Amino acid sequence: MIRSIGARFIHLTFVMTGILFLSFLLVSLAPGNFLSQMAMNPQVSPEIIQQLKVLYGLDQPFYLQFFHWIGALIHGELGYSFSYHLPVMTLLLSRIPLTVLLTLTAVAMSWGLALPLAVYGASRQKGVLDRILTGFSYLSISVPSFFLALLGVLLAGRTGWFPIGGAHSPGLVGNGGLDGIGDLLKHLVLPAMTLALGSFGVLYRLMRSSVIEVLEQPYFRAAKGRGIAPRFLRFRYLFRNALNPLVTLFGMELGGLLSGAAFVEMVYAWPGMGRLMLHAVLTEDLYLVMGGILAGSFMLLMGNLLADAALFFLDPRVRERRP
Amino acid sequence: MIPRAFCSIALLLSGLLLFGAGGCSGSAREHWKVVPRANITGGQLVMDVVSDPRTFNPALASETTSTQILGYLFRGLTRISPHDGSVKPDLAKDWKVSQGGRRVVVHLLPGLLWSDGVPLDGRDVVFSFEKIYYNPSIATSVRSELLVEGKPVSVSLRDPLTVVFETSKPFAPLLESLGVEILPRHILEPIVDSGKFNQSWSVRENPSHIVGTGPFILAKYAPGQFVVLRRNPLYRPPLGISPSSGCTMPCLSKIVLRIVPNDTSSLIRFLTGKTDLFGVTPQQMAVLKPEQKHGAFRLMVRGPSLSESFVTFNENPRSPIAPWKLKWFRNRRFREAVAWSIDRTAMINIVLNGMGSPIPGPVPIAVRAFFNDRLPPYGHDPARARVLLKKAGFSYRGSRLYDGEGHRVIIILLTNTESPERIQMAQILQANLKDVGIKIRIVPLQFNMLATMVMSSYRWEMLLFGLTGVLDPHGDISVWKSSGFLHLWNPREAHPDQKWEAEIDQLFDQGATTMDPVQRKKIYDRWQEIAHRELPLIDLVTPDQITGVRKTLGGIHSTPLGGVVPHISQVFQSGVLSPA
Repeated sequence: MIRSIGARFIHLTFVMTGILFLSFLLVSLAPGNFLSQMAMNPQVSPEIIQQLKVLYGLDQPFYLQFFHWIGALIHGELGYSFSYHLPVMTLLLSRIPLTVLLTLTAVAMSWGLALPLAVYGASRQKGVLDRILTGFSYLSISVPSFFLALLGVLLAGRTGWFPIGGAHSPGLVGNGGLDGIGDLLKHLVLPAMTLALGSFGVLYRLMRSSVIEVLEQPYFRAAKGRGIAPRFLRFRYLFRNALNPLVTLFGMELGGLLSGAAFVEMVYAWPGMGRLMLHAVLTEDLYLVMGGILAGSFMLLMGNLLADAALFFLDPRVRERRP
Repeated sequence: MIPRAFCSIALLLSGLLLFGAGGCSGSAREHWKVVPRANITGGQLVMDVVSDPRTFNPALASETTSTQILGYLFRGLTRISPHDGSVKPDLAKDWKVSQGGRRVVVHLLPGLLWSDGVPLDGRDVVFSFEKIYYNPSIATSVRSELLVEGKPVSVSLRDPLTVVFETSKPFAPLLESLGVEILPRHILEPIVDSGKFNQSWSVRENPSHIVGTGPFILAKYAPGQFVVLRRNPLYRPPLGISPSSGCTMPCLSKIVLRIVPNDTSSLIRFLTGKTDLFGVTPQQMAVLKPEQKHGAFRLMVRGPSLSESFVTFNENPRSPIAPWKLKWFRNRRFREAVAWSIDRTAMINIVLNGMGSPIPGPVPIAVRAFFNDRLPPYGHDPARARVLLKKAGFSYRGSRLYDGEGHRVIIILLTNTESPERIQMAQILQANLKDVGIKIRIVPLQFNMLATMVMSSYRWEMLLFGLTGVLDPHGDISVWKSSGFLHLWNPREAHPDQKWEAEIDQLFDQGATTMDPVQRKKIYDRWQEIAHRELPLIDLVTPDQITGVRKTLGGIHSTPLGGVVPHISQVFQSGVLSPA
């Protein structure tokens, strides 16, 4: 097991280096650079643009810029944002906690709802509730998350039940007391619900079909025929076996913790990574883009690694396949 | 409460998102009334901004949110009047121009204090220019505006309250350039000396370290959420700015700028009474107009904006485009025919919801000091365009246009994807030019790719674009001088390619060195006549400037150049909103 995980880590290092090199290459190959917008301003002369290019190191070939960046990365630095005039690490650390809070809450809500409801729906196929939930899951899959978010903003505006925009009220930032936590939760409810509703459909459909598949397996029928207690049957035989495909999905959800909420963050003005990265990409803020890619890829690879490890423990067939 | 929500959702699901926000039944509307406040000093102003500030360092700021916020925190020696664009004193008490415009002696207001209580004097001014704006190791784009023919202006201290600016040649826009922010020497000099200025006053800086002279000081910044500014008690207003209705300036105690990157969310926030000021696009008028009465706000329409939109053709002989196309584009009659083919009224009605105006020439109508009102506008006259095309050597086979060498007139039009309005304008243009036999293929490109094609590879034929509007025509020198890097139709010419370009070069040189405003107006009038005749840029339409203003706000006046807030220190809250 340890050897297997060690091999995976070495593999991940190569994959990560490949991702970073290709990303750096692609960002550098994109026409223009951070200064292109400024260069189209009649009031900024080409001489000044050239001076700024030298100051930012954008006059160097891309491979030199890449090796400098990798060198800094080895020392724990992610470079410097051109637009914020700040280290990329500082910027990312200021945004990651709120994005993770939002996505984790959404994951908890969607999984907490979808899993039990899917088990219920699968065990009472074609029942009224199953039909309603199936219809709802189709709706959840087909309605884009930004549209749901706009509905949420309108709801908040019309009813006044929830604040619109941000994660805190101006007077309550950094307030760790009940007021502060309550205020944060009030700001969190709608964006988290929007994200949760968006992923509910996929989870429900996947879990439902997985449960139905297990229900039809001979080993499950045999167990049922032997008169095993329903609760034991549900958890030991049904739930555990139906979880396999969801474990892989959970790994991907972990990967999306930092990047999966960008649209919703934009509409609700949630101060997370999504908005920061969108601006970085639009303005070609090279090292900030690279910092975001590094963080996102790291989470995705770790998510996959964790999912594989979980499958290793959950599924004896995977254990037997090991070299 | 629940029926309101359902009403909104039902409307939205019907695809009437924006209209639904304002078009629900009466019970769904927000009804507000204004309850007067006892004391108009104090109160807060809430606005939305589209993005985070990138820096709190005025020398490094280049995007709009940072510059808007810094405008409340810092001041320059001069300021521009929002009413007529004239130069007024700010930190300066007055100035004297001598030696034919080569020397400007500026006297500072006495008793000025930085927000930390340290006195401001001429040493801060000299420091700001010499050690910051003219320092090549500092990443500031402001430097461009402060160079006269590529050279720095000499800045010296005569006495603690008198600073002398000297140039080798007279430079008319110098007084306007002196509006750049003056920065505190006592705080920043050690930082400049240590070589860390480019990292200083970032958005992570402790707000109390950011010291200015503006009416407000930075109180708090929460990344991605809001910026809070509070009243600067040491603020001293510029000469000519008097308090509104007897309050102590600045009248407001606080400004809250909420960062909301989504237009629709901002619109809903304004409609539901969460913000006091809202920049309205013509498309949003349909939603806002019916809500004025109930929402306790008014919509102030201030006439044409400064923003430009135009089409231009590649006239550059060094470009790799087909030689016969270059011939068309360099033909003045061809360009004039295109100008007469465009239906600007349709553009205004379709793209700007009827709230806009045709652009008559290179100077916006709002810039009264330089606008030439004697130039007749180009209307929509396809018949006249066809006659012009025939005179230019083109002929028709059926409805299609061919040049004298038998080439069908097909042109590729580039525009940038970031602006849906420009793409719509391009589509109208395509239909208009089809009527005169010209086939247009529209290619929308991402901004940086477009900029690279236009500025570096010259691989383009026709471009629909816009540039930042300026108040003094000299600001457009890089566009209009033949050697200019933004002389889009034929950039960086070694010598003026055409006679009229040589004349424009001369006019811009004269305009920069002529100090007499009447003479300058004549010079730039002549430039506008040439631009109107030769049409290197064919102007299109500009939207009206519209602002939604909460009725509780005072100190608000419509101005052509400065929005609805002529001076932020005069704005006050005369009341509070209360449900009706």
